[in-house]
Amino acid sequence: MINKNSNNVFKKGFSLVEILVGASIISLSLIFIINLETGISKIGFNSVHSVQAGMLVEEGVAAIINLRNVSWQNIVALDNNLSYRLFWDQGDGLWKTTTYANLIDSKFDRTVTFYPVYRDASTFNVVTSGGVLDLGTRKFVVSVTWNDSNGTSTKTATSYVHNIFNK
Amino acid sequence: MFLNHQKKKNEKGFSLVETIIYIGLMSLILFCLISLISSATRTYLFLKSSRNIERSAINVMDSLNDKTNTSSKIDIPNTVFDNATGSISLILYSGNNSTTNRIYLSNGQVMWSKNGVLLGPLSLSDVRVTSLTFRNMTNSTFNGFKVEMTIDNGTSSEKYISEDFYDSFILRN
Repeated sequence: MINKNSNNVFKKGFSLVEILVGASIISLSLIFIINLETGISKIGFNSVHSVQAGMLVEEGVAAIINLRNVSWQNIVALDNNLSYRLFWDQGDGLWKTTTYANLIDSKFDRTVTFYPVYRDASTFNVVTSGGVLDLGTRKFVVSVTWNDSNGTSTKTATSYVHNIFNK
Repeated sequence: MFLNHQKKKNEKGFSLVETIIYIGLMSLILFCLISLISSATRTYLFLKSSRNIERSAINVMDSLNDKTNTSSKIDIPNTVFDNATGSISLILYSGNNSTTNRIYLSNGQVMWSKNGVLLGPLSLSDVRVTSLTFRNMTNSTFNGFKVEMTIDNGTSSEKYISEDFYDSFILRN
């Protein structure tokens, strides 16, 4: 009797409702996985853009050193707390600054902002408040901003530039 | 009597409507499955390509940075500036000896040679460097150069990627 009932249960198969529910769950799972892969692709792109931005920041620092090497007056002429963009002057073979926006590859916005440097009168250490203005040193921040799937991303580098050549 | 009745019920099979619904559902699941496999393949190829492009760019720029930091000057006569198939030679003087590192583009790959001996590619073989341009930043008091490099994922037709990388380097000496 038990065997007979058991056979009946197996012979019944699935009902249409069960099939519909099962198929819906499987389909939704597959759609979720496909969307997940699209997200992974975006992460791959974001990673490449992050590397590009890192190199642009590095180039920005080199460009400021390039400006200083040509003449300290190039640095002195730049205002504090103002965002400058860099551009390559192929004719002169030099980096130059502009206040106009110029996106790199229509994607990356690289700015350079200068700040005054104050030093302690006795230790000559850089101080954030008080101190004596050091006319031979400027602090600068290179910042690269771009849009990706996560929104706006930024990479920055902070450094100091000194009038070591005195020219 | 019960067994006979059950047997008869089982012999009924599926109705036409049920069969059509089942086939429809199976088709939908199969479509999703094929889309998933296709998407997974594209994602894999894309991630592989973008990773190779990224790694090649880092390798080339890191090598240029390393050679720049350990070099005395740019060997201008043996350097090709302002050309998409660029080449740069960097010389390190040490006493009476000198070491020349040359980094150049050849057949879609960035190559590195030291004192004329080829040491191998800096970019990965899975990608193609379509341009490597050096710009001269050198004057009487300092040496430096700007680099512009474009890398794509070669002949792969899946999710074609082409990315530009820029950097500038200044010699310490």
